[in-house]
Amino acid sequence: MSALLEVKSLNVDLPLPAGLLHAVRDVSFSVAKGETLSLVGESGCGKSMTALAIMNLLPPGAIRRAERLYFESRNLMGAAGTDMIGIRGARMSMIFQEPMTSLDPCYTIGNQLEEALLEHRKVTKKEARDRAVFLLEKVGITGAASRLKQYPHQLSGGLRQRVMIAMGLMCGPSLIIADEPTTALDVTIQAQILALLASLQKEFDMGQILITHDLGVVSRVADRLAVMYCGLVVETGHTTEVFQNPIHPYTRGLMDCIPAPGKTKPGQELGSIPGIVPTPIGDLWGCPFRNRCFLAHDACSAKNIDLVEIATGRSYRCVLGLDHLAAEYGRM
Amino acid sequence: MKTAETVIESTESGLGLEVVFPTPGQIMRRRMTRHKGFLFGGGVLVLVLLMAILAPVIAPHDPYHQELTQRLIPPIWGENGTWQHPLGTDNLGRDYFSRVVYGCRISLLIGFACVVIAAVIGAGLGLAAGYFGGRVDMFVSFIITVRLAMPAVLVAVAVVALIGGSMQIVILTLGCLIWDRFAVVLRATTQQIRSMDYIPAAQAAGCSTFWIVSREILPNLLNNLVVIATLEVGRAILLEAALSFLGMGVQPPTPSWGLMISEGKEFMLFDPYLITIPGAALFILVLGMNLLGDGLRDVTAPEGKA
Amino acid sequence: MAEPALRIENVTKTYMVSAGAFKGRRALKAVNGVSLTVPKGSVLGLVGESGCGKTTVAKMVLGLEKMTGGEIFIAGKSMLSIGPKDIARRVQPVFQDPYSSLNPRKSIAKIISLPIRALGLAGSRTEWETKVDAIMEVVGLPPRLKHNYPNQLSGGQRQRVAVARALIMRPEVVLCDEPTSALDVSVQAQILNLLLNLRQELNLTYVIITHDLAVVEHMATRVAVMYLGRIVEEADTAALFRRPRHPYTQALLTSVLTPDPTLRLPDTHLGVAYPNPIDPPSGCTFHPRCPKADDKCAAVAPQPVVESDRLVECHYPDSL
Repeated sequence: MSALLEVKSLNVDLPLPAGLLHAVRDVSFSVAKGETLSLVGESGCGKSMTALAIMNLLPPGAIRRAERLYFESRNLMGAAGTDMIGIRGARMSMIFQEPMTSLDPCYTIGNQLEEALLEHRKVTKKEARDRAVFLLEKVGITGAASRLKQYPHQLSGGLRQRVMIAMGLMCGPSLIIADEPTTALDVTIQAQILALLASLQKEFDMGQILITHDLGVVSRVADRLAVMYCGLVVETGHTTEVFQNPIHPYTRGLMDCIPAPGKTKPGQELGSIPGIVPTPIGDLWGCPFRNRCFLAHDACSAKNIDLVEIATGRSYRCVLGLDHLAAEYGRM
Repeated sequence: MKTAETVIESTESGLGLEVVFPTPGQIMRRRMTRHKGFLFGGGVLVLVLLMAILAPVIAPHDPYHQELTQRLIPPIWGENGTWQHPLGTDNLGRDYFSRVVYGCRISLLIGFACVVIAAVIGAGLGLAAGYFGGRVDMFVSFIITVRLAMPAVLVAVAVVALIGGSMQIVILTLGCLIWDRFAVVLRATTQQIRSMDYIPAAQAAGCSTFWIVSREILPNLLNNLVVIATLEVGRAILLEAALSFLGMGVQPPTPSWGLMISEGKEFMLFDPYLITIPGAALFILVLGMNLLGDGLRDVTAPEGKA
Repeated sequence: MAEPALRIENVTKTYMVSAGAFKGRRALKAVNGVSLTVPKGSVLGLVGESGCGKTTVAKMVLGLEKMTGGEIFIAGKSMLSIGPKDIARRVQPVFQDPYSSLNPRKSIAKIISLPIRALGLAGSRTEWETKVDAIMEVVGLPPRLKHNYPNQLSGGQRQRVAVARALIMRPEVVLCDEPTSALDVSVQAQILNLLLNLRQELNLTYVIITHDLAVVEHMATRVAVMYLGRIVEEADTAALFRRPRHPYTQALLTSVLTPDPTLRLPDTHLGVAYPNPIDPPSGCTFHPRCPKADDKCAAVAPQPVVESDRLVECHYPDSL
């Protein structure tokens, strides 16, 4: 069974005045139907760039290379600009972070929803309208028919995000890429939106790539995750595995940073990762985390550190072996 | 004591760069040396400025001296042209080159003086409207609307017709008329700045309103202010030329380029150089100022969220 | 008993907003009667979602907005009786967005020293520069950054500058409005640790306004939950988190997604979206979203009830 989306060795470089920025380096993962993969990392780690690279929505001047970039058994690298138009929005949709700015304020909700379908399918306006109403109801918006005539500014942030989700589903895509879909929303709405995405995914048998920095969200929603740092994937695995037994020092560090009732003691210092994320410009080698890692030593500056696969779908990128790491963590 | 150098970890470490942001001053300087429009416009301005300052040295003759035996001599490229009068003479025998050179003074003086007055009025109104909002904003917006509804040239003409024309009157009148762009743009920019958190932070730190407006907001407006000022100088120069052409600006025998065009229009058919030369001078100066203004805008534009 | 660092008494803030082109003005009650006491050296967490009025309360405490009603006492002095400069000496803010809370045209030294220069406490340049050096060391900023500009610093460093600016005058109360929401996870921890350490070292009093309950549980000694301009529950942190009594607090706590892969997404039973403060629901403003609501809740607004150092405003709160 071939995967829905197969990414192997994806690289994205951006020419900047200061040099060539290696935003995404040698990133590989796959997403199956009905599965949620989460790309986790802090700002600047390359997770959003990866999504844009898959959709071919990179900023002008960006250079994209990949060994394999297959979606529904079609080679996306070979697809010319016009081919992507048939895929983007139709077979593969993206939901962005800012519901305030991702909807066009000049057009009604109905207009934008219908346009999403009419652009790709030869359907009548009425059919498009019916599908819009159907999806608005699916995303939990009451009074869908009258909502079609409303403008984005008349809706709250949570409602707008639901409209974004409905818009993404208009053509019945098989893959949804959600880039921080709930970061800009209130906490009580967040759970609702995520639950909505999960149920829709099940119903329409879609694959999902969830991009986020919020480990709480990842733990509840994702089946598998890939932790990214400085453009590289540093750890992958099933969610439960990674949370119960994080291998890479960065993953461990991240988890220690978060105040978690039961795990961290109130009033005590949180674990933190000293130092700043370097900017990946110019010639790069070795482990990008070595200037902040408490286990760093000479071997970390070695030429290239590859992902070590310890089980199917479970890998990490570090020169230290599992036993050594386990011993160090046990000491802590 | 501005040692605001950035710390850049060398790329030999293989980690990439640690900190890579230059100071705002460094960014500006780097852009300036590469922007063609900025350099060209700046060059034109410097050239005209030098001509204006060094006019007594450069001009071969007194621009007011009439030599009636030497009337309407064509410039050097026409027949009977002489190096005595490289750009010819006008209908009163005055050397055209000298008049053009001294005309630089008039244009620059009027241009900059008008803009200074306009900037003070416009920035004051715009800042007040943007910072205080509410009734102040309503009032200022009303004034701006009234001003925009008036055609500047006609009002200037009317004022001069009532009071009489002279350089001071022209400067004052135009200065009090062309502040609208300053007010509109600076009002919008002030509103933007108002919404940034460092303004309430300054308020919470105990800064007086005067302090906030003059020391926190104004420095952030300087970019826009300078860009608009540069563009408005071009506008002021053209307006003065128009007024002088209509006889409602500076009075003869002042060597204003607009006045020169006006005086030359009767002889236009046979001696077109009388209008093309001052016309070309106006064109080059205003083009230069506009390019400089556009260049300044590009050079001082914010880098984006950094 | 010592005077509390901050005492807010039945404060209200009403805005008159136009309700439409020809409809005249209507009252928007952003803050509808809030009372709080913050003892010296404690940390109060003020939580709520967008639109609940917590930011407006913060602005009133800072003196940036005038109260429509009620009074605020800072270290015993009523805000109505002291001028803005005195308020500035006693309360200082740390804002959410480190990218917009620092003036891009000022050097770091100028930014940090702004409070002491604005209040005329600075003295000569060397004097205030020395103070800047001292506070930069306290917050962990390398001294070489003194002459840099905000755009040259990272988000975490900028937030440290904001903290330094707030602390340079040793205020009574430091008001943090979402101090870490705009930062990366690993940097959030650094800033939170910094705030915790400074509190102990300098015996500071914090009011932390946030929607992040995990941060509140970690940092605050006491928590107040706001909904649509009123405090619906207030208690010591441990007590509130162990046993929330108000249905909204319960929903909030359930919504917090702790990084626990064994759990699924919570169902908060909240339903309908956040109401519009211009048109609040009748009776208890939470009743349209409350799973326990009945007719009484729709008709009568509940009164706050104080029991064992806890405050709840609900007709049917859970038992203690």
